[in-house]
Amino acid sequence: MSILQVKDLSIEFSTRNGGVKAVRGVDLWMNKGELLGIAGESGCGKTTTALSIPRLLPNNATITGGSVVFDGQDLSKLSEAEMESIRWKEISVIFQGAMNALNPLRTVGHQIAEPILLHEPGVSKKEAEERAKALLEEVGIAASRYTNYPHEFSGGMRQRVMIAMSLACNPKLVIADEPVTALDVMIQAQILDLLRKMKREHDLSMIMISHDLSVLSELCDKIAIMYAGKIVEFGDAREVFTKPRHPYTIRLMKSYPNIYGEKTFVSGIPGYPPNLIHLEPGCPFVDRCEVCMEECRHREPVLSEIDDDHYCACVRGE
Amino acid sequence: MKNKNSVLSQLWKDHMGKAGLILLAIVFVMAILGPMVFPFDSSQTAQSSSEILNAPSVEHWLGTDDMGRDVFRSLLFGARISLFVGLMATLISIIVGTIVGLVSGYYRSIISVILMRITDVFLAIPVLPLIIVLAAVFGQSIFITIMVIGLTSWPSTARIVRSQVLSIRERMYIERIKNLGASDFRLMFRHVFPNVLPLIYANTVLVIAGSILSEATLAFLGLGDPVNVSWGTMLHYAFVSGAMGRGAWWYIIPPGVGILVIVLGFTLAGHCLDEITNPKLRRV
Repeated sequence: MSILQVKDLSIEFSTRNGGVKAVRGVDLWMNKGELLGIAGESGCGKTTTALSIPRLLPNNATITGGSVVFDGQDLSKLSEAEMESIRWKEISVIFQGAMNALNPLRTVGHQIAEPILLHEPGVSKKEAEERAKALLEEVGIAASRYTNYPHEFSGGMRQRVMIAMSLACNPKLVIADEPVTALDVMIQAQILDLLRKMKREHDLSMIMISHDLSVLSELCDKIAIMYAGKIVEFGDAREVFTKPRHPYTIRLMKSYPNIYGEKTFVSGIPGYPPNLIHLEPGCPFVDRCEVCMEECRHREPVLSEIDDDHYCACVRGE
Repeated sequence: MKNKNSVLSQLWKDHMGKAGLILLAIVFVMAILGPMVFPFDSSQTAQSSSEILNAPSVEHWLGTDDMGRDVFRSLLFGARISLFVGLMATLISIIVGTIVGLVSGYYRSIISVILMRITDVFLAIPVLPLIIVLAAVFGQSIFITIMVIGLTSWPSTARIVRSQVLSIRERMYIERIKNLGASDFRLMFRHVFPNVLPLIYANTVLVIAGSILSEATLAFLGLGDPVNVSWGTMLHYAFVSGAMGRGAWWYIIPPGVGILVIVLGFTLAGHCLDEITNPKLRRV
């Protein structure tokens, strides 16, 4: 059963230098209980795409087109007030940068209880506190630390707090924006385990944003590779990881060292992503692509099914 | 002190802070306990001219004033008035300044511009002549004095609070809490305000010193409350009655020293508190 369907989503940021087309016609879908990974380099529109689902974009961003259907409801047609009732209760977010996303002057417990108090007006303070304590226990922190302040917690623990906070109102969909960035590898593994456990126990669907393919390969059912505001490859995670088809995905995979097999140099991708204010016609990846053809300079390829549950936006694959 | 890092114990560790605390302790004891032990009635004037401007004696420790009242008792009572006016005026000033600073710092809209221009106007007007005019127009009572001082001394607080709010507003957790759906009011007072509080503390203590000084100035110029005699009022009467020319030093020096001690105490404590709460000012 499909829980989320994003169709032809476009988002533009107005800046002093002109409009930045951060997201240009994105199509995405996922089923209930799945974990969708969104990968891509900085500025490719991962976070913008994901945060546009609960409409938590900055003020200078406008959704210029497309629709977001969540659980049978078209979110793009809802008013701000109706959206407010969806946020946190239905869709919650684990924000990027847990280190700085906690108010240093309020106790951790209060901050976990805050979404409950804000979104469930009937709940008493006492009840919210009980629930927050239960959530702390659930993410592996003793309830007695409810009254601690963020500086008394380590980075990993703060990330656990952020996870607890995102689950406070029992959402159906959780968007985790770079949940393990800036944590060391040991803690990364623990946090990923925790996310997996939470997803299973709370029967969640989850979108995870990361630029780290190794993190996504570990957890995801589906994966979307984004480049310059577009999805270039999308599909079953195992399929995409074992048989990448888009030249960008292929180069991205080669940019990570393989822990098995021969010692080889990590290749990286030379060049820079295109300017999203003044986009040239044609495929956005053309200047960095090793296998580009003349046609790529004139026509932008569309996302099309190349295999069972495997979609790719490349002229060669069409 | 129980907590090793409490603000008071940090003040006590600093030479400047310690001096300030001692001076303030003296003034507060004088103001609170003094009039209980040595009651003073400003209407109890001398019956005969022989009791006027007497030099210090066993009966009158600091002599008598131009109306034959005991200067020592008057001094203790004056401490109360000076402190009361200073604290109340500061309370008004801090409340107005904090609200103006918070609101103008938090909103990016036209509200912020209007509030800041009003603040600029108040900063640009020479305050003392303004206070004198207002006090002269509205009359001589300590409540008028409190209002006048309070409503003219808030701009510096507003500026300080605003600059800090501008920085706090951009922090990630504020963004996050906004996304949680918290109202502007909740964000401002529950999340931004606690982060500016330390700055407000330090500023408050300095504003108290300024307010007491303003009150003394007003009273000295004859705009004080004649019934509630403050140290400034004492100086005024001493000056008018020509105590200086008659060599009545006991009438002039005590209130003068009193004002010095109280203002110095608050200033020392305030600067030290500023250093504690604002790490950028801390000496290496």
